[in-house]
Amino acid sequence: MTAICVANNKGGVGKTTSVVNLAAGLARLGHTVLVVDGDGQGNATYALTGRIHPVPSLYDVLMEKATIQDVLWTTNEDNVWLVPGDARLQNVDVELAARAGREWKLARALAGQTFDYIIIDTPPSLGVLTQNALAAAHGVIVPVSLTEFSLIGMDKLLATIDDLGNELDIPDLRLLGILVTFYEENKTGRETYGILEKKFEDKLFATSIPKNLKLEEAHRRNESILAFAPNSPGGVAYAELAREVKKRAAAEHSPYSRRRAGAR
Amino acid sequence: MPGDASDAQSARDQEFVRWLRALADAVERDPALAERVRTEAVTGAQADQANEQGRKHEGHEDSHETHETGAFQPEGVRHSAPGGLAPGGCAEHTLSSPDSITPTLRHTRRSSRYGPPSVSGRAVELGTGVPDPFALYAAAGEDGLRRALETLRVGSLRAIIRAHGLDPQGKLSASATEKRLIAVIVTAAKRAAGTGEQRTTKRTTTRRTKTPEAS
Repeated sequence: MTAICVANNKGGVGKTTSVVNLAAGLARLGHTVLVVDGDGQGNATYALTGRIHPVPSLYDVLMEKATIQDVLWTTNEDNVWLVPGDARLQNVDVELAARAGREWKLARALAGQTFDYIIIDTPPSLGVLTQNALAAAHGVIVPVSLTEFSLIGMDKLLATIDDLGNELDIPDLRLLGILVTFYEENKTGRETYGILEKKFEDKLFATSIPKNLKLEEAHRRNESILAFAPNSPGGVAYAELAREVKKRAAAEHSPYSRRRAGAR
Repeated sequence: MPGDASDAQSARDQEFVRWLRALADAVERDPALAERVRTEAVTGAQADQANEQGRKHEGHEDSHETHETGAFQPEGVRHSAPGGLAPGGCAEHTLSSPDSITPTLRHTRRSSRYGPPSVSGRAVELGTGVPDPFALYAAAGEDGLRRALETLRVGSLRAIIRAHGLDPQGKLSASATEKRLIAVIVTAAKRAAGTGEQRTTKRTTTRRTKTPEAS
């Protein structure tokens, strides 16, 4: 099993879209996938089930009032299951502030799950929820939109993820890749992509996600892009991304049980 | 020590914030509690306004922040409230007399209804994951099923049809509308109810490669 956290403390870079469609892509490769909606906005939950802020949810798991099995949902995608998120997750930073081992709640809860992949959506912050997601993950995918503001924060973000890995003593946490989203084939797009490519080299996914209205339309229909418009530019890109993630995860995979042995 | 006082104040502030969030959560779940809180707030605001006018009249125009520590301390509110939510989601705490809580409620607007619902107002009866139209039909009848389905979008409706094998011949086109999908589901549920047929979910037996279970 491979657990992947999709994180970026900047909002609107395509985290949830990537989580939902990557999950669908991996499912179409024949894998079982669990999506954990760690964002209090609950957008992944809505995209995969059409439901808004259901209770109980991941919040109850983190508060140790429920187990993962208690909140395991089927979704509109075959082979994709969901641990839903709801608005109460926005309080988790405060409510877990004084609790010992607060960063390991999710890792503990997920221990023993037998999905091929677990993909964790995170809020646009580096608070307790994101720390829980990082502590539970083997690899991090950092989506980045090709805008100047996104690029400015990249170094800081990667350093912070590295620091969190060290502080939380997560030896196996790796940057699985940087995913370019909202790519547009024009001069600015090519130049900005070139900067990223030069800077991050092989850490950049070969697949970029193009700016594609079909992606938004798919969310509105509560479908993945691979169900709604598999041949659209966005659909083709996410199918390709799933293959690339599978390949990278296999190359960098370390047994989950070993990770959990380090969990406190 | 000034630092200690500042820390204590910060802790009290955080505790109060947690209490407010817990209260808001409970209010969202419990309309009766919401009504009580609203009444308390309005009554408190009115009483406070009257008191203030009285004070002004007497020439005592004190600051609103009259607490000795300078930090807000919600007197009369049980501080165990944040961790003390009852299983049903109702807060165990009770609001004290309006006078003691008016410092924060003074400017409360009656019309304020901001905030995402903690519990979906839309078809909670749909249960977790892909809804079971046969169970919904049995519980709520055709109208109930139809109302529940009308809250869903194409992706969810298609998932129901796939999961329950309602289109075995694959006759539904990719462009079928929500109305058409709902009609297919309702017809299937009615037919199954009429024949007493037991339905099973196809997805769990045919489409999934594994049954995920905690070890």
